[in-house]
Parts: sequence; structure tokens; C-alpha cells
Amino acid sequence: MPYGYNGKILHVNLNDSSYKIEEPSENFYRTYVGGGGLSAYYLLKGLKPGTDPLGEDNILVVALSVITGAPLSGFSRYTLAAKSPLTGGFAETEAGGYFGPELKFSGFDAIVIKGKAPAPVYLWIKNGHLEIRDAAAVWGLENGDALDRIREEVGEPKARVASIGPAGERQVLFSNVMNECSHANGRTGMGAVLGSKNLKAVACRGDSKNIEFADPDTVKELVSWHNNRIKTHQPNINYSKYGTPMFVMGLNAAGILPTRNFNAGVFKGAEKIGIPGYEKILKRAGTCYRCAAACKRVVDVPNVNPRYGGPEYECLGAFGSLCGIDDIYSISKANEMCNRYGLDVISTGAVVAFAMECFEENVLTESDNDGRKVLFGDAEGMLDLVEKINARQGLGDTLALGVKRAAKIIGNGAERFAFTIKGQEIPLHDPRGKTGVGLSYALSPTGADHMETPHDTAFIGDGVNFIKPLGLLDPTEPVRLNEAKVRFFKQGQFCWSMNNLLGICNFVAAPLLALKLEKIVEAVRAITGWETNLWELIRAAERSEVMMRVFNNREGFSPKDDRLIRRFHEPLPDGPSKGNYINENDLKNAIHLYYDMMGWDSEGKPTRGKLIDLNLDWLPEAQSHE
Amino acid sequence: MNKLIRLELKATLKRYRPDSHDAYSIESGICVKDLVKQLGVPEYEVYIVFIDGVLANLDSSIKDGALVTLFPPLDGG
Repeated sequence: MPYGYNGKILHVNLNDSSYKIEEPSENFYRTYVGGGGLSAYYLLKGLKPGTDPLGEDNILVVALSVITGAPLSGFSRYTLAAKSPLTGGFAETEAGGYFGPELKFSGFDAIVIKGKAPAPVYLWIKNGHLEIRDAAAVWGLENGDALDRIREEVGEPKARVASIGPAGERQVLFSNVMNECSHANGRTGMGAVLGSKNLKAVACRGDSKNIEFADPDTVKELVSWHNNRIKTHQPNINYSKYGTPMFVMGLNAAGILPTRNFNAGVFKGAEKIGIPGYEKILKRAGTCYRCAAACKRVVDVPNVNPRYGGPEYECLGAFGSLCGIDDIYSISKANEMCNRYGLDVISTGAVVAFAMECFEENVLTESDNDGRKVLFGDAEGMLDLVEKINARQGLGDTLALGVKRAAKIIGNGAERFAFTIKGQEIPLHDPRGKTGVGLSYALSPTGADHMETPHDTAFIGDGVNFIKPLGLLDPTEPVRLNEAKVRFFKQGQFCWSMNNLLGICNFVAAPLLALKLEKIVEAVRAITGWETNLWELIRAAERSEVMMRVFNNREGFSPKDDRLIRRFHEPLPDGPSKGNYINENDLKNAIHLYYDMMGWDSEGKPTRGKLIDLNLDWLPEAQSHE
Repeated sequence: MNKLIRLELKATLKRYRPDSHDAYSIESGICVKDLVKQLGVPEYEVYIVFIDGVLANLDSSIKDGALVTLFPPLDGG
């Protein structure tokens, strides 16, 4: 039996309720490691290009890493992956919480799910045994009620459950998967994929004693080292004390808080939705499995069920500044509704902000929305649209398809206000103040994604000390987009990609947060017993990125999809970053320089040499044509 | 007794920079948290602290002549 992981991958076919257990070799695990790596392997092996993402042939992968569930802070994350119904490309989305470690203890490292159940079901896994259960009594329930009901049905009050809400059942294209009501696999529309398969949830329960570590004493020492550093490392102290809402005031002061559908970077109501406002509603911090960082928030707001958690930065930005709303109570309500219904807060806020601008510009009128215009700043109208998106009623049915598709349906020039990259709505970071994030948005295989590379802003001046171990010896210049920025982007991407692959939360780990690179390596060695090092892990990270790129190339993506939106190429109109914009030529040059650095050709395709260098000889793309 | 330190306020924290940042007077024995209060910077705006280029935090004490560098929170997730 391997250390740290099970050595078992569960394959389920929902068409006929059959399943089999695969027991891959250690070399397989060393090659693909976890999350995006394992997922990309199964998608590249099993999915034909052009497959309907909401058809029964799509493959859904639930993947842990070889170290998921070890008791270090932030080692709880797991990945959902499939072909995305939102982008048509590779989808992966990570979540913390409690589900990932429990799945590990229940006996499997990943679940590969194919087919479509004839009627709603959920998977119930306990100590290595799978049961595909009738979900008749659970289908239609909101996430919290589904969690309670499933625990009752399986007779395990401590079962952990990842479920879809009504929005996923109705295949809202940006619906998500929630665990424990407040932890989201938010992006790329995985809720709709579960919904299309008639799969309400995956529930699991296992004994943590099922997993042994190669060197338990060192694991214990690392836990203690890491948790002590979390208490003394200032950025982590802030995450614990303020959570991600701290970024509202910082980004607003910098003039890059996305406001009114990216029309501006300064929001007058920032204080009301940032820390000064948040302190009025904060009840306590929340956390994930065995994590000392405790960056989650629980709020005390009338008519908001506290089990669904409080809004985090992306949510405050999406329903707040992006919609021009400064009412933190309504934003908290929108957050609760998204978590109950199973909607991604970023895409939901973005699609509402898009609709608001369409109303402002008379592209949409009262007659499109039951006699009501919803303009920027209209909190009540925003909540009404969230309700309608979940119900797929009226204008909500159009918005449920995401900004890109909704703009086509609305027509009348709506596309001028429709902002997505590879079809995915844009997170709450304006790359005009941190161009490395612009490269993330343009180059992430999942479309606009703010967690692709560390943000430039922490590495100015002495902050360079954090990135020196990545071989980056010069401080960053956040607003410049030059050769040095591409180098920063690539090395940072490898680092965060390694964290994602290992299921380590980026809020507790290198380059900026408490767990240093060498400690990550020590942890992998002590947990798995592998004689490994940073070299091997970073190569695995690059491999996963390359596999996702190959997947997208197969689906017809090309360099024209590696782009930003019109507004980021226009100068910010006012505030401290007034006049900043991203030059289109600079961006194009940066992207082609990145292809060069990666060993990809001018069409953004990894070369045969790169694929073979990364042990991907088995890919058809790596075959010689001579 | 007072001592003189140097201040480097990065990015958006520049707006709190006192004229005397190259020779800023603080009371002996105070820590970064006290300094931040004295400068009128809300604590939640201080994300990273260096003293003489070495990573520190709000509880760190400040020696005579030290260079204190403060960064705001501008990343996110």
C-alpha cells in the first residue's frame, strides 16, 4: 500500500451503474500527481474533440493529489474537471473545505465519471465501497438541505458531500459545486456537468487511519512549523484577521477595483463593502480541514443563513463595485443565494453587471425584465436577477447562459458590454494595475482566471525576496508589460500550478504565504516516501499545463483566443491609475514570447520535443510525422 | 526618549508618507503596530513588513536607524 494515497482510482459509468477500480503504478502517480494532472490525463485519453459538454459522453473527474488530506494547513483542496460547457475548453476548478480529505480517507484518489444516469442519483462512498443511490428525494433541494438529507439517508452525520443546487440541475452554464455550504468549486460550470449527468452529489466517509504517511514524525514537525509560521507571517496574519475582504480597500486605493462592469477602477462605496463595512457584519472566521490560516468568514446578517458563509473578496467585488452596489447586506444575501442555489459568484455578479450596463445603454429595456430596469447600484434589482437566473425565468433564462451567449441573444449591440475571455467571465482584478494578471487571464487554459500566477504587486522592492527562490532576481514592475514580466508570469505560473496540482491552497504557500518551497518538497517526501525534489514537482506542474493546452488545441482554440477584453486596452478614466492601459501590441508580443519560453510553436502548440521531454510520448500530438 | 528611523511606504501607502520619512521620530521601544497607528494607517492596509530588508510583522520592535518598509494588500483571490 502506498503512503499518503490509496493507489486506487474509481471509474463509474452512470449509464448502467457499473464501476471498476483501477490501481495505477507509482510511476503513474509521480507523473500526474493530482488535480489538473490526473484530470487532464483522463480527459485527453477518453474524450473525443467536439464532444458536447452537456452530453453523456463528457467525462467528469474528481481528483485529489497524492498528499491531499495530510494534516498540514491548506492541504485540503480537490479538483473537479471536465470539458467546460461555458468555454468549450478544459475545465478545472479547485475547492477547499472538507470533502477532499474525506474522499481520500474513503479509499480513492480520484473518481472518473462517464455517462448519464437514467434518473437522478448520488454516489455514496464509504471505506472503499461505492453505492449509486437514488436521488429522487434530494433532487430539487438547495445545497444545505441536500447535505442534511443525504447525511440522513446514508445514516452518517459526518458524511462529507459535494453537491449541486437547483442551478446545476437546471444547467445554468456557470453553476458550481459546493461542499459544506460555503466551499465552492466555483468556476467553469461544473455544476451544469453534474446536472447533465443526473448526478446530484458525491458523498463520502472514511477513517483517516486508512492513510499512512511514510515519515509521520516529520509530517508532525512540518505541521507545527507551518502553523507557527502562519501565526507570525504578516500576510497570513491578515488572511486570518481580515480574510480576503481586505483587498477591497487596497485595490480601490490603487484605482484598480473593477467598478460598473470594468468602466472604472475607483468605487465610491468601497469603505462600505471593504473592511470598515465588513466589521459590522463579521461574526467569526471560518476555515477548511486542519487549516490554521482560517481565512473564511461567517457573517451575522438578518435573513442570511450563516451556514452559507460570508462574502469573500471576489463576491464583494462582483456584486459590489462591479454592479455599483455599496450595500453589504444585499451582497451578503447574494452570496448566500449563490451558495444555496449553486452559482459561481464571479460569473453571476459579472452577468448581472453586464445586464446593468445594457439597461443603462438602453440595449435592454423595462419590457425585457417584467417592467423593471436594473441600473448600476440597484441592489434589489440585482437580487431579483440572481433569483431569476437560478429559476431560469424571463431575462434570467438568457443570463443563465453566461455573458457571451446572453449578448448574442440580446443583440442590439449588447456585445459591446460583454466581457469574457475564452467564454469565461472575468474575475475582480484589473490587469491595468498588474499586468501579470493580464497574462493569467489571456493564457489560462480555463479562460479568465486570477489564480494562474501570483499577482505582481507583492514583489516590488524588497518583495523580490519572496520570488528569488523561483530564480526571479529583480523586483516586479506591476504596470509594465515587458520581457521581465513574461519571465515572472511563467515562473510564478509553474509555482502556483504545482500548488494546484498538489491541492495546496495558494493562501498558505509559496511564493508569498507561509509554506516555503523547500517545506512543500519536505512534505511531499515525508507523506509519500518518494525520493523527490522541486525539479520533479515543477516538471509535473509544467506537464499539467501543457496537457491542458493540448486539450484546448484539440478543441480548436488558437492564439486568437489568448487575448484580453476591449476595456483593458482603454485608459482607466480616473483615480490613482488614471490613464493606465494595456497596449495590444505589447500583449501580443508578450504572449508569443511566452510560447517561445514554453517550447510551443507560433500557433501556441507545444512542440513534439516539449511533449517528449515531459514524458508525454503517448499523446498522438507527440508522434513523428516522418 | 526618541529615536530616528527611515520609512519606505510602498504603492498606495505612499499617501500616508510623512514629510520627514527619511528621519522619522518614534518613541523608543515601540513596535511596528504602534508606528502604523502613529502614521494614521489603518492596520488592515499593512500586509507585508520589512525591517532593514528582513521580513518582520506588526509585533516586531524597531531599532534606532532602522529602515521600515510597509506594503499594502493588492493581490487577492
